[in-house]
Amino acid sequence: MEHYIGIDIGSTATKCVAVDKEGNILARVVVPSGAGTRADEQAIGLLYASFRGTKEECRRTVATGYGRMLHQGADEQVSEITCHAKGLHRMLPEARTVIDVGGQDLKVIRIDENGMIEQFVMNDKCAAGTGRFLEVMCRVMNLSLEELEEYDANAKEMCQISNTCTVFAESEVISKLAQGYAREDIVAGIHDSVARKICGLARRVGVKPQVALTGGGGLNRGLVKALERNLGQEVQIPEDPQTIGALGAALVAAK
Amino acid sequence: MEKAEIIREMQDAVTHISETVHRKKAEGRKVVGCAPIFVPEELVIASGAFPVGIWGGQKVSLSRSQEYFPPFACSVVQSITELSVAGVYDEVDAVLLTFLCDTLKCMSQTIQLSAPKLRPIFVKHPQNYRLECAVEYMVKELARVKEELEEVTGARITEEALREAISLCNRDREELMRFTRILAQKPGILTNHQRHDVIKSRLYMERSRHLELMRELNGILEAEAAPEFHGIRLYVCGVMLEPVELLDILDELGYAIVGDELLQESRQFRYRVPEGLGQLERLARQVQNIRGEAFLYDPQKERDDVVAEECRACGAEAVLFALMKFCDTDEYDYPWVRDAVQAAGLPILNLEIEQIMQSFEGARTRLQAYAEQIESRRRA
Repeated sequence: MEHYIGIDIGSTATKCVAVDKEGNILARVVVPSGAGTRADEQAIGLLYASFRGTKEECRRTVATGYGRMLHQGADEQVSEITCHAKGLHRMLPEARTVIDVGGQDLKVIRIDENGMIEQFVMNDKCAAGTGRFLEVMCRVMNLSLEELEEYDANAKEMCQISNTCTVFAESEVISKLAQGYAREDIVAGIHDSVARKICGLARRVGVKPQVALTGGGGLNRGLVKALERNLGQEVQIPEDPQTIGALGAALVAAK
Repeated sequence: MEKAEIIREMQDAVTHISETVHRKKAEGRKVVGCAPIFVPEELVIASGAFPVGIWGGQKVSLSRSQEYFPPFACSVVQSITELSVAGVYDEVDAVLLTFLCDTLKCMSQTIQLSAPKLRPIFVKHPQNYRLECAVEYMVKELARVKEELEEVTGARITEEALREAISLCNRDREELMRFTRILAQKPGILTNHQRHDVIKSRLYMERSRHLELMRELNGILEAEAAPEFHGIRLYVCGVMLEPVELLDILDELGYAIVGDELLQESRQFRYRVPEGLGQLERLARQVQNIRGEAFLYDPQKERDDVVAEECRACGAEAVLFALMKFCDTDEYDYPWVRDAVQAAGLPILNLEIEQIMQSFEGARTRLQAYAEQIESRRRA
């Protein structure tokens, strides 16, 4: 079957999507390793194992993400900002503000009714507001990323956690744990901290409804709730939010 | 000379600064550092000393500077401090220092500790620099700077020598303006990296040699046909566009800088020293004529208008605001400039940079996304 591939090689995960000429999704996979780990080869292998297509039938491959320059099989490299905008517009055409919470990047992209980028902003070196922030906090609290949502749902009173810096926040969490605060309340505070960081960045480009969340952050309902509370509006989550960048890359390939 | 030869000589000047200073000292010349920003380099030239730019270093690893500055200080000042502790300026006889931002104010004090052998000569600009009394003040200030330079160099700075130095620097400024205009008319004729080296080399060469090379280079560029160019005509704002890897990324992505208001580049030469009777008064009036300058008190905030006017004049289709991390001055101005640029129908990207940055992937992603955004606007 003739198809087009988009591969999004992030800092902590590699996502791969195959589409047909019309942009319909044929297959998608996520490998939990990122740039520099050969996860791209693994993701391509898994992708072909998951649908009836062969490498010979691939017409074009577009790579995106932090490791986009490293993938040998790409016909073109496109920035993840463009790919997230394209992928999200395909899934949620009414969305005008895209928030992507990735492993070490945080991006806010404003798009118009045609899915064209109006403005975008990215976090700088600081990991506050990114998946890395959540990973660090999980390690301190001896939790897995998957458990955060459940702990947040059981919180009774949210703790205040700084969003200035991951290292400062980590010390605060350690201190709260030592003071006997419930881990559930700390997790809710951590989600709120990330959400406040995201909102600060989002307001720099202006938040236009509808707002959608992509990237691994979209899988965490606790974070989504905190974001909705801080933004004062509903946040849309596309199907399989982690693969939106790869979908955008596949759509660019198919164009 | 061939174009490549001229550019190579300028690139050598930019990359072999210590060697040049060492050579000048061996020849028995005095060397005077010209720190950022708006120092009267004409006085240095008139004294017979060699003026050398003190603009820090690219990708300098900071360690000792942290004894003098917190981590959230501008990386240009931090790298100057680091290099001063490392003894890089040991052969420099004196340095002209201004106080035009908070971090420079701090450096005027810390440099006396970080480089005790280096003699600072302070240049204090007037706050309300447009007033007539500010010129009167600035003349007195420049007279003091002149006296201090005479003490350092042992030479008397005559009116005639200063007139000649002003004339030399003005002719060099005119050639640089001509150069930037040619590059705006013929984008792609030089790389962005080459453009930067040509402009920056004025800080590290004998000004008379720079002028000679500029004239020859401009003649060659004017005679050359404009290359076919389908890339993006970019106007750049900010303090500087270094490290040069950023320029290489712009080149790779098909951008051509058609205009700038970088402090290290066009803002150094876009105002000639005006005519007048007294030479010190002429230098003072050059400052008075400056419009829309972020580092001078500007209650009307004209910088945004100046940027919009210059974008129109050079035919820019996009603006890059290269925001030096922790530069409060540019941080405050950015919203004004952004609004003016957007009102002129142009997109603007705020790219946070540091002179000491070592990793460029984040910057590459932003610049690539910006190029894609502009391309899709064109297609629409």
